[in-house]
Amino acid sequence: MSSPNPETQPAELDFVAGFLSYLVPGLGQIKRGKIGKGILFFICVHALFFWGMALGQWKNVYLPRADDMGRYRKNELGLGISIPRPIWYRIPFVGQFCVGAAAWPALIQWYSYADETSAEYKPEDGGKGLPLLGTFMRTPTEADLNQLQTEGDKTWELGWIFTVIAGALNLLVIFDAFAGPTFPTPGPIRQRVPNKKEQGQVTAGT
Amino acid sequence: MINIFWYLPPLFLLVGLVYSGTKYDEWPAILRDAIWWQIRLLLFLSGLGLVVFLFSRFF
Repeated sequence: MSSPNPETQPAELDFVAGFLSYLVPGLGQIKRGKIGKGILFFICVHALFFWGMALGQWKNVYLPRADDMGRYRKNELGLGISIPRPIWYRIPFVGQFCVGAAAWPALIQWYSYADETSAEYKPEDGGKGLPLLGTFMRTPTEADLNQLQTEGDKTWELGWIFTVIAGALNLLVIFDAFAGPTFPTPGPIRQRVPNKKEQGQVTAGT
Repeated sequence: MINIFWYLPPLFLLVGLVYSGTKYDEWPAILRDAIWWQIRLLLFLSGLGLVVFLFSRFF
């Protein structure tokens, strides 16, 4: 069995860098000292994500309460496994969530606003936005969604696909921050430092 | 309103740059790989478009 080429040994695993790259794409690379790559990832992933949102008129990243969605579709996978209803109703959000903190406003809206799919929905609350977020990433009304999907061109769908692609790319970015690139730069050959036992043998032998 | 196919080149560019960036650390390698990905994606989709066109034209 051949041993790995010492010139291209993989980088050490860095869990903190991986987590930082989840929070903000590219931040983990910056933490590892690869500032240029970090900035590249930050710009590219966010550009794709927000471009996708803009194509969907800023109404394609959201998480509905989906309290009453059981009557439309079952979220039971069998064997006692069930998927939370909001996720089951809006599966693309799983991909969008991978973009990191940029998608968290949808979670805040989900937590703080009872949308149309909620049992606690009050129509008079519809216009009230949150202090900083307003209605950003709030679940659109069914009328809005119907209008976007029937009267618009295909850009609403294309937009959410772009946001999901951005999330999928960020998974690669996270892994790059965590474990280094697929093909690491050949560096100087690192000599293995003998352990204490081996050092003792060498000393005894001389 | 522009044709949605015009969204493809920037999409290829962003995807290619990020994907290549996760493969290499040096900029020349990243850029070379990203450009190669643009070409491959363009050829693949052009080929697919050609097949669809031929089907619609002759079948």
